[in-house]
Amino acid sequence: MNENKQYGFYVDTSKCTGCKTCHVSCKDRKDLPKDVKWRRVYEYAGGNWQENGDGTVEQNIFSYYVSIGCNHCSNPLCVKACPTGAMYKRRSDGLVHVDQGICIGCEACARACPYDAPQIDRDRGVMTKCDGCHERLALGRKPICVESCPLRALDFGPIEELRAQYGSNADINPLPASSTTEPNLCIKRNRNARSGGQVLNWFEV
Amino acid sequence: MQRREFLKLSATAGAVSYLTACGSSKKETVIPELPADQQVNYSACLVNCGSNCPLRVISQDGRILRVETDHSGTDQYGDHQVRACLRGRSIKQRTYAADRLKTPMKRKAGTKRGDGQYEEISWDQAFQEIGSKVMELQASHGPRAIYHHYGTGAYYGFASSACIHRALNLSGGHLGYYGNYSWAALNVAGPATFGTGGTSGTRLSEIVHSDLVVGFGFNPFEIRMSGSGEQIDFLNAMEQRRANNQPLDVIIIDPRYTDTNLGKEDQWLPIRPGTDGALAEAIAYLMISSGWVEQNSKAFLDKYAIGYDRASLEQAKLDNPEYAELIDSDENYHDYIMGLGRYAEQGPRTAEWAAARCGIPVNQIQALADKIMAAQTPYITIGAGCNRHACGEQTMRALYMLPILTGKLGEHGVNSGELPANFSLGASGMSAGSNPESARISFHTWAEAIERGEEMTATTDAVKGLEAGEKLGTNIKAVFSSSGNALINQHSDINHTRAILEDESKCEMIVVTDCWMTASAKMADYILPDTTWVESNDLANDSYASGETGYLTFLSSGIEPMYNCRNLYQIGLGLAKVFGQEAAYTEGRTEQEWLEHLYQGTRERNPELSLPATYTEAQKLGFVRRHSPKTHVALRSFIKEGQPLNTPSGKIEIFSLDWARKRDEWTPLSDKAFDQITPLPHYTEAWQGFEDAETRDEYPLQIVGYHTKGRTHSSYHNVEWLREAVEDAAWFNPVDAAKYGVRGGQTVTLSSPQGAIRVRAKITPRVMVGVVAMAQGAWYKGSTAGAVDAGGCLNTLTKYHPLPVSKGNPQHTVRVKVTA
Repeated sequence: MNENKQYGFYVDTSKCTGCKTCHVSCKDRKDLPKDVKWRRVYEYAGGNWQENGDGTVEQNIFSYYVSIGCNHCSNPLCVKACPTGAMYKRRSDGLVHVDQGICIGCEACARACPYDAPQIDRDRGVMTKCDGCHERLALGRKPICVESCPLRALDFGPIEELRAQYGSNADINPLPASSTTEPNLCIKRNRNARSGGQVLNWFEV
Repeated sequence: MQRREFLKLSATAGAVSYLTACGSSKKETVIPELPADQQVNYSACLVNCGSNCPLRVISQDGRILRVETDHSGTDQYGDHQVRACLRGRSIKQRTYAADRLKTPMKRKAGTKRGDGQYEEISWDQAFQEIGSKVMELQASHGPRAIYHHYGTGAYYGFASSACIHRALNLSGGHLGYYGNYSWAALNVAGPATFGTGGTSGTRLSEIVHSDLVVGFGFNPFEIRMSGSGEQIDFLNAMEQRRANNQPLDVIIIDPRYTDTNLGKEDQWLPIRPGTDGALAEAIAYLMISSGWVEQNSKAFLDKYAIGYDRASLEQAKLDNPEYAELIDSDENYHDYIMGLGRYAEQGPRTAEWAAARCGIPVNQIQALADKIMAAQTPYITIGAGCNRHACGEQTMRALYMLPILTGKLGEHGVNSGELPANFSLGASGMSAGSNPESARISFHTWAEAIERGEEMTATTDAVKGLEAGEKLGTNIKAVFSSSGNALINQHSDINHTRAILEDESKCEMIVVTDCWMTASAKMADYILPDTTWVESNDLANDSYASGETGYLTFLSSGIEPMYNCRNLYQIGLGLAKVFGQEAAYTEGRTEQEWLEHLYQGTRERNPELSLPATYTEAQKLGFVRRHSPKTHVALRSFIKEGQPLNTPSGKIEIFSLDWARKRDEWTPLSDKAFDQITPLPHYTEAWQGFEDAETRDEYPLQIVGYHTKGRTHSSYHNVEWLREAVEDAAWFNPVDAAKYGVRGGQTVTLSSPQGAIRVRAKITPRVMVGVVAMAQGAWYKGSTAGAVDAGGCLNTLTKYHPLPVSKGNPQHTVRVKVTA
């Protein structure tokens, strides 16, 4: 493995259908308990309906999904917020990991992360999060969410390679502005991407 | 190890470049993927979504660690991987679910069916008691009193429900069924119109040649979710066409802004459930009244179809003398749409007439008609959702008229409206043997046959296999259900079904085989625990709607059969022994020999795959796939090569000769329009439909049921990972939420004339005003017939009312009211 690389994710929101295969394959890999979701898929939608009074309707509804795990940010607010040093960024590959032996479960990282990547395990009282499937990377494989995607809407690799292939955009609603944490994330924008919508599926994320 | 097996194999496969297997050969010698104490076995997800995706099950010491899927080849389209969706990826939790059935059980004496109270019994006791009851009923009522119901929860090649059918056939026979809950109406509308089964449509990859896609209830991104499923064929074709800057307009017509939209569409037209036929007739009116048909497609209609106009029917009388007296040339499509002749009182099917029904404004109907007329290669397709309505037979035929009227059928990129034809690799399956009993009922009428089977006939209930004028002659007295949940959960009108099943004087024995304590299992007298896929040696193909990549999976297992479960072959064998038919059942083969036998049959059917010599070797290989070597265009052999269609006239039948005969000979359920058979397609107002005056005031909202991604029908409902990933909720448009005081996240009661459920509400703009969208398949939890169902099963709300021709299911026709 090369030293000092920075890994990142790519999300093609024009392909994603919100099927949650990434979310479930991730849970299967590590037997994540209920409510712990290392990868989440946001359903974003908006637009208005108009009743015409003659039994017909008109609308300008739009929707799309955004699948997000951890962006292993270059400015990881979770690491800065952690009082114990349990949350740390690996020099070798830029992945942000949490050392559960040190974590006190205070959830400061979860409050700091605008992507909701740190996910508390309430039974064990420790923080958990996307670890970039480091054991798969060592075997030359990609993270399980990427390889599971039925739509081939996800990719993973050294961020400079992803940006060269897919462009450097990392902004789309409902995600926070990329200037906040400098996420290692590339996003292909959906045709429907715009503001004025809302997340519809808080139950699922 | 498996990879090396594959390399050896591919060395012998020569030019068979499409043959692929587990793993990529690139990393062959780098690092072993699995520690030495872990093993990988191929299993497959065998539910009824249309695909049977392979699962690579990684286990250690007989326990599943995790599940992966096809990871072979380049993954470029044509060599793309068969990636399982979230359901297959959750199989570990399903396998170790708390509600696994562990041992044979018998309903406790003194409890009612549905109470869910059981005592454990031995396999011997179960086989003896069930087998003896079957023989007693054979003697007292004959084989027609014994019925095995539809069930599609496990598409095994070997240990499938065919094994139970096989045992029952050897007991002296049993009442069969025809048809299915998915496609009942289209399976009669397709034959009536095109002489097909309704699933011979143009391949989705042909959309690379299409300039227009119009999809009615067409939703491959939610119902065909495999990573090699129809969604991928459709996506690839759209992307290719758009990348090449070729014109493509994608219009999706659906009550929901489905996940087939999401920016992939150019236009979404929300429509009221059950009114697609009205929209179709308005478009037909615009195509005819403008003179477009006369100028552009009349010659096509004259040559390839019967029934368009008076002259066509006069000719049809001459060409089909045995049907001549059933044909009245006043009853033609042109006059029907234009409101002429005998249809003058009804009036023309104008856009204004349709708009108030379907909810689509007149200008948008006109624009859609204009696009269909202007298209060179229109791919018009009709999802099966349109067929599962009270008037679904009419809706399907009304919609099939649009591609017919364009006159462009048979060309590349053009579809007939039917579901796309599948490409499949053939696998040999366990034979149910021959049934000495020829009578078969529509799958949907089984519960009714418990009450009045003895009166059922061909012309009142569409019973097949009877002598002319014969009655079925007995009620059903014993029901078997294997790998299915249609005994209560997936059948129309749960409260009605439950009341019938609770009366033990009617149906005297109910036997359920399954792996989990489903809602149907709770209605059983005997529950027999089946093994799951991941505990099985078996074989499976790609299934029935897997798109354009065919594949075979040779299942093996790293975990032992759990608890005191037996597979369906062993259960069938146990029954066959009681019937004294062991030798006929086994044909002298052991289980392993059956697997080898079926494997050799599969191998012979696929010579181009150069499959390994033995089943054991094939299990090591695990999985092979092959992309379709050729395409399919609907009706091309008829249009281009003159091969007659399998309709009575050999042509496309706008006026169905067969349905003219059925109208003449059959007795409808009532004199209402929705119970009539008509030779022409007629948009018909449905009971409990949008216009229904009897129910619309008390039940102001229509429900559209849909297939959630979090289950396949009712399969996988008991998996927590899926329940948290995909919310089960009733969708309310914000306009309706405000009107009826519904808050997001609130649990509400939805009541129809048939029953009531409790369900969480979700407020979303992604559903039509006046329509509630709800995923079907949640497990029913009512305590008694008529009680409010806390499980939120949609079929607690649906009505049992067989369709006129198919006697099939109308489960998307529902009206409800909402209360807190």
